[in-house]
Amino acid sequence: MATEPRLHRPVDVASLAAFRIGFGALLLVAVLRYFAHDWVAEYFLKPAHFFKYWGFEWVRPWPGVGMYLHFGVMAACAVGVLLGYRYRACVVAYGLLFGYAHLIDKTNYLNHYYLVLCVCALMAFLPLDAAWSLDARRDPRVRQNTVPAWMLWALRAQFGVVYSFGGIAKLNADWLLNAQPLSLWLARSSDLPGVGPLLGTAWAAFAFSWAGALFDLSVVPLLLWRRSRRYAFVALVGFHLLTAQLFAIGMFPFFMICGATLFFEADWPKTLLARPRERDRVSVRTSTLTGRFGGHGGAVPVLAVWFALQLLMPLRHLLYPGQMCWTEQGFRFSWNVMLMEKNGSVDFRVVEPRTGRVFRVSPNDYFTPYQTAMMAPQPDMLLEAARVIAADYRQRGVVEPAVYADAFASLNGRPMQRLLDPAVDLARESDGFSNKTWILPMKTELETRTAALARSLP
Amino acid sequence: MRFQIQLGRAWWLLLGVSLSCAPVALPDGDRRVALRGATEQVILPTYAELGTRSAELASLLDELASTPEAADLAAIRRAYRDVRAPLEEAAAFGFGPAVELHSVADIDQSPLDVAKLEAELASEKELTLQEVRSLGANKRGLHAIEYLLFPEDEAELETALLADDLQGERRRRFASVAGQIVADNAEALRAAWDPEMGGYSRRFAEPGRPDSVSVNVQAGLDTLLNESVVLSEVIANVKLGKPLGAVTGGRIDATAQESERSGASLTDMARNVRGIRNVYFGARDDSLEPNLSLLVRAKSPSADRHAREALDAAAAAISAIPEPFTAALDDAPETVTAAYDAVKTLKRVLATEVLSSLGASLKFSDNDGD
Repeated sequence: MATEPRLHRPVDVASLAAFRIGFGALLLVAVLRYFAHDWVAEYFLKPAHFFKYWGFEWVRPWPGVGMYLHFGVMAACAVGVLLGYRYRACVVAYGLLFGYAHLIDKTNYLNHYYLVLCVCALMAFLPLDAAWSLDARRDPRVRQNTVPAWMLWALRAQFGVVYSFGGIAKLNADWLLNAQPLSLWLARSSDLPGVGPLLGTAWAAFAFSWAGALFDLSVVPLLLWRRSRRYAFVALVGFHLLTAQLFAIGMFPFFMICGATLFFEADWPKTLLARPRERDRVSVRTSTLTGRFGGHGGAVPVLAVWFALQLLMPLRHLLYPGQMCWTEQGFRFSWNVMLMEKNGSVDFRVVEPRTGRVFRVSPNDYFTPYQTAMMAPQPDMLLEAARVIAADYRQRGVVEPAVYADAFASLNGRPMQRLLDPAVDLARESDGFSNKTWILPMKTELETRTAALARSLP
Repeated sequence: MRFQIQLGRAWWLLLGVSLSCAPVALPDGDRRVALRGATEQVILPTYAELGTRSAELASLLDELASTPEAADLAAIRRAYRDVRAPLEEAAAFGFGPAVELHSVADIDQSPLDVAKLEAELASEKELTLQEVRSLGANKRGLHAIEYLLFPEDEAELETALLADDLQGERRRRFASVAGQIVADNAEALRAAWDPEMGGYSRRFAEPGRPDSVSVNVQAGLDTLLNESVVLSEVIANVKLGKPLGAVTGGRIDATAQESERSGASLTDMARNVRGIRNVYFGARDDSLEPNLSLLVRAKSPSADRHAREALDAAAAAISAIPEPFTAALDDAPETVTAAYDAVKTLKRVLATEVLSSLGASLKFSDNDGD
């Protein structure tokens, strides 16, 4: 257990306090964007049905103006985190409210929303209000100069997991050998001034793909190594600003830039803000600080469990057959960031076995266009949609309705293929963690061409 | 001093970032040319034709009202059908002014509220432009004109529309005023897109300006593609699927078709597909490159081939339905089912392969991705 004393070594709280301020500001912006884009109504009030997470079927939007109040309280909590005012209560409340809102509908899942939840969960146990906060100003007991090193490392590890698994996920043939999906995405920006025409070229797509994978895989060690840290940080900021410019990924780049500041020395904010003459003294002072904290003995084992889960979750897709991006089994909560271009189209058939009557059903009759677009290529959401439709037809008097899906998808520029077995009655299938046998395997290019040739023959 | 130097560096960095985000003149890449081509070669001419045809119909209906004894009803009926052709093609780009001006509803609301229209005709209200305009869109659009021009019983046409009595006069007067309203709305739509008037074409096809409606070229292409996907869905589910009984368990309902009285339902759908085709090829006649087809082909030749095949197959399947559509629903439902399937395939190809090849998104939301 040689690492334990090292993890309990006191480190300056300054970088954590600076992170709290930055993260709080980003949480606030994230909420304000919901009001600015009217997403509260779009995602929580307009839909008649929601795609539930397994075990969270009970989570529903609040009636009336409830969701607006919900997000209003979140904004207030974000300000609390930012200012360090009743910090613990605010970060816990923000995490719970944010989690509740995003458990309402799978449609709105984003990797960085999951990251926000993970970081909020960790922050709830960390005294990030120990400095530069209203809590510390009004209560001397809150104030402290140092925290145990594990607190800093916990947050570093959380961000490190995102980069590492993001990089590992890119080690596949589509990304490295076909430069997909970047080949498709970069061409979108081929009308940008200057670099635009280059972005539409094949070599640019390959360069971005390989550089992206290398960046994700190497940035954490490069940030940890003192000699490369500055350069890695500059590269990281450039990388994220570039992705923010080229792709519609919202707050993600800014959360990651904020998280990357944690990899600097724990006293970096003091060093940055100190006058040049005082810098050496700041460094000496913080290095000799000792903590007056205690009672964190159980923290390291708890964190070990937390991070064991963090490591296992992204690997769970290995338990399922087939390509993860196609089946999407084990896809969520796994840091598969910007990994695929997948579009789908689906229509349902409801059959009444007793009479043989067939009803063709458009998903647009039940879901918003955005929900339909997000659902079409995702098998578990298609299953849930089929159940919603079955329940509706049952209510309309159709006896034991069977629901079949004509679902097609195109992954990373491939020709569209059937995603689900059209002969399987989805109304009879149950959701859960077992393998979904009704997802058809993705055909290889050779198989697709052979099938097309066979169809064209007389 | 060192602190000041670092601050100075930070300002330079900020300046650099700001400059890189500042608007600058954009080069005319293929995507931009394709967007402009679709706007100038497809959207503007289609709306121009809609304006012209609507004005011709309005003029003929006006003549009918003023000199019924000289009316050529066959010519008026032809003029009615001629309006529908560009109107149905324009459904492939029913965004912007078409939404803002409520043009679709004002010109072609369906289904028609026959009972209220008859009540209006039977009333003693003066049929002024203002009075008819104040009626709901489902009582005064093209389908109201269709109702008057194409009675269920052909023999009733002359007795009803050319009758030398008050009822006949009111019907002619109503048709004339309704025709004028349709023409006014079509002209308003054309003017809104006209680069010299409303200027929407410029705002749409030239992203990056302060008054542009698209944040960038791709957003404009996304809009075009989204409209095509939505229209193909409407053709399949509403125009074919509803009469076919696809949504009612096979109960055929000829009254659910769009243009039953004038027998234009099939040509309406054919023109819809033609509109999608025009957008895809960037021209109303021959393909004009660079266009969406070229952009798709550059990324995936097979996706472009599939899109062309699907467009051809959808058009062929619709034209294979024997006229009139009402009879085909009973006598040759397999042809209607084949057309339904062909249009569904078109929608699938557009929503998956074409969408992916363009790096586009079905942007029913401006939510982030990651």
